[in-house]
Amino acid sequence: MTDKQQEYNDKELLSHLQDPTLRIKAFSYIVKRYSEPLYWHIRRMVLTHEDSDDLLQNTFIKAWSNIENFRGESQISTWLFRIAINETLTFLGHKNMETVSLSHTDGIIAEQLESDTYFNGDHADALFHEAVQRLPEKQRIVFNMKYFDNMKYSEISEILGTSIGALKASYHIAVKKIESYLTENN
Amino acid sequence: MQIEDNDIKKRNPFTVPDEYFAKVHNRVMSRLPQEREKRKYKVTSLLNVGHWGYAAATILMFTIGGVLFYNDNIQMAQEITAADEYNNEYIDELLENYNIDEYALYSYLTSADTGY
Repeated sequence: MTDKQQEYNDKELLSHLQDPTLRIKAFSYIVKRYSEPLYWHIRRMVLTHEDSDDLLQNTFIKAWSNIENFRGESQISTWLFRIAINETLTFLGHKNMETVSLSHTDGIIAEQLESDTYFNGDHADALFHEAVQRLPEKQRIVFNMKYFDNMKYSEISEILGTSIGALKASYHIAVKKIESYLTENN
Repeated sequence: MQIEDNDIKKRNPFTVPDEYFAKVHNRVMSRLPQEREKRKYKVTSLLNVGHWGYAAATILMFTIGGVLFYNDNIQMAQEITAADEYNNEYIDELLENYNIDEYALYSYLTSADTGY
């Protein structure tokens, strides 16, 4: 799609996706438009670039494979975030089974981050992301969406299928846990 | 430590390789036709038959079950009839060979049933 076509809204994009002759171009536009927000969301969940890259590509491949089933009941971004979150949680589920004992030691995640080629933060940044990483997965998703992605509770609610009240409570608990972890480890 | 007004919120310490987002777009787009082909030639499981398949299998199962049950009953009835015929023939033969009248036999069998 051209730059002019970037002004297309979800409705127009959906009609292009449903047309087999325009589908690939519309999907190319979607990949361009949503790669960055999806990547950063995944990256904050899994931390490494390599894993984030795999999960981002898998998200788009899965979306493409199911494109005919997408009827536009939700926004395209909501649909893509749901796929990305499912992919990420499945990946983390497998990974946690392999590394559960390693991550129990305080400071080990920060240490790994600081030695990562694609991390240029200081120790405070690394410790902060370790504190986030220690949250339960679903609480971490809510925290990341609200704190870093600046999403509204209504948007998060639509993506996760959780009530706004529960999301607010989850975010509040997450903030308290992170603050407590940082106080103990600073 | 308060994190809501923290500078960390505004910082992104994570980085990506040069031109990553342009490259990932190309990589994803080059994989799409292959994924389409994979789906096109995907082997469909015999178990993946949907609701109509399950309905047909249930009807078939009840039909076969019904036929087997009906045949079993006919066979059993035939066997009972054959056994009765065999018993009657045997009793007739006994009455003839041993010169026992039917009343005596009836009395014997009745006393045998009641234990006397």
